[in-house]
Amino acid sequence: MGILLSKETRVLVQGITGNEGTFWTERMLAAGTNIVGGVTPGKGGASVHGVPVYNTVQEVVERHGAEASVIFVPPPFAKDATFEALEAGLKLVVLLADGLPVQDALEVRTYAREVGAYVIGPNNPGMATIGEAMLGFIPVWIADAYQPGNIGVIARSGSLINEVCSHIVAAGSGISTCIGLGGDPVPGTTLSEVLALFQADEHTRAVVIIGEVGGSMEEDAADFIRAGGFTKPAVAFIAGRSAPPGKKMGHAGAIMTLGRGSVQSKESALAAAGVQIARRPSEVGRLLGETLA
Amino acid sequence: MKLYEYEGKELFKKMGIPVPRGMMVTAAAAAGEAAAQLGTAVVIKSQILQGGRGKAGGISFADSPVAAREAAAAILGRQLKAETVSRVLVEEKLAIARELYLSITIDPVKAAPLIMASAAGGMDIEEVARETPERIVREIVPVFRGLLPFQARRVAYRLGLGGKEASAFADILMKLYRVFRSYDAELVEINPLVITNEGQMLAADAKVNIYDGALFRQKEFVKGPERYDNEREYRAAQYGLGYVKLEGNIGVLCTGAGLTMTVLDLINYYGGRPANFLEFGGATYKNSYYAMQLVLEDPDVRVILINTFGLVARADVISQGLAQAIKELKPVPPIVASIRGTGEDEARQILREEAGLEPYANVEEAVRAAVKLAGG
Repeated sequence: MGILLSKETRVLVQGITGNEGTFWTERMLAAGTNIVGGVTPGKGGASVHGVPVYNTVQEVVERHGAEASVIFVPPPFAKDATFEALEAGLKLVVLLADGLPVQDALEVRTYAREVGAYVIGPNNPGMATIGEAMLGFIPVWIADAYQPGNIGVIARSGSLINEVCSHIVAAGSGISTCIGLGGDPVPGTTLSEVLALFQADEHTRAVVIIGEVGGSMEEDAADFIRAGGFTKPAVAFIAGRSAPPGKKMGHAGAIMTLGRGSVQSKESALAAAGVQIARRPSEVGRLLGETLA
Repeated sequence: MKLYEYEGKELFKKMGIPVPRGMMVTAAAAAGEAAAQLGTAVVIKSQILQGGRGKAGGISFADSPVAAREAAAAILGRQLKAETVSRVLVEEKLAIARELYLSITIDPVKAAPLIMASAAGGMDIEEVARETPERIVREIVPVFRGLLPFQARRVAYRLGLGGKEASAFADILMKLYRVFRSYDAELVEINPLVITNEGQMLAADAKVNIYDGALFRQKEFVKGPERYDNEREYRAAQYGLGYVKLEGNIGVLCTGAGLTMTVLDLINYYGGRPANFLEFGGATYKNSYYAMQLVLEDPDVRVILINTFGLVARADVISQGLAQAIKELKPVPPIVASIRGTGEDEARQILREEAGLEPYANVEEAVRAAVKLAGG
């Protein structure tokens, strides 16, 4: 169980014949993902790790009933690939590309909302429902970081997902679904939207939020929680306290400007909404234990 | 990527937005000639990327070519806001009746372009937003509809403009929106947008920031060394590494932006001070070699702290690059490492056998050890 993705979800891989697509398709299959087809324009008829390749998304939808897509194509072609998936009716699209022009991101998110789909990313590690399926780069085979359970994990940063999940597992808990929203200024899906999904998921008892400096997603999520949109226990860790103002810290979205988007502002907004704040990743496990006790 | 004012104005001119007559020069003599050619009193504006140059003494006026030459000589080569002034823009001095503010940026929550305009131009707009937010007009542009003339006129009317001024404003806004969309900008700003005594409206300043992630298709812009805070940040970017110089003495090499920020936070938490932000990763181990090279160049570094918990980047591949870098570069500062992620057992073995390192079991232990070695 978990949100958006299960072992039944029929998945297609866009860009499956590229180096990355091929490499990660093998790992996604090993993680249990139900991959029904791949797409690379011009490579229709090929096969990658036993997965049939088609020229268009439409074909995979018609022949195999694909419901979700994970996109490995490079940033210059990412908007095109995403619109192809959305227009074919897919309701979950994981967009991994690091370097999508922000104006393309505006169009992607606007269109996704119009058609009622979730685009996860860009510039993210993907998502996984632990023990069932994985879309993207999440190393669910690292046993001391990924065990199935009932904690939902939402992160802006990919590298912190591993770190924080390892503390959740060390504390004796496990993970339902973990999801990387990405480090870009305009993510396809926001923290609040994922909180709403975890609220509706009976299997998820609590949520860990991994935020970072910049933007206002954490503050918006705090408003969402205060308004009653999310009522389960939550723990948050926010990275970037030591980021100097006006400097981009690796992520295009991780920039603090004019006193907005600071770690302090995010922590105090979330704390006021009843979220437990971890000052270090290693505190996440203990706070979760206390919250669920 | 931030553009200099004169570059922004060239884009404006191309789109038909009126700007003052002027030219960019790099030598004092040329500034004198430019003033003579313009045939009016001029303003000499130093071209730097940071804001606040007026208050810092980067703008002066001259009413003769000789005075223009002297003013340029006084500012060229000077340090202003930590930048060396190597270019000045010599422009006709305007007879200003009113100053407005106009910008387009991205609203990340609504996922749409955001127009901001104010009748309080020429001031620090952040201050206006804080002190008198009611003086700023905001309008969201639906991304697929784009900006239409009725909305541009509405902004003008909401600012209290009428008649010819409203038309001129709406026309400039339409063209500014075209600049914003055509050049993949994350910000276009005119502050001030001037109305002269003769009733003409023109862009007296230009701020254009191109989104770095779109530079692959904005080929006329090249992000050269002068656009970075220091030379090392520029070279890091050429290797695909994110590097930011900081004040402390612990040299940091990490994978992933979030983990790297967290490591900096942990260093501060335990009483140490990081010398840099440096995020490396990706599939090529060469990156870890260059990363090590960059950190070693910094004379402030007393300890090197390596942390990975890679996703795309495999731990064993990273370790190979690090081991090679350690063998070839022979770093003097002690090295503390925590290597996690896919292939972590092989990674630890490589570091032990080829680089003589004993990796720590987790990030926090490694950070505490590094802080101790750096002298607390």
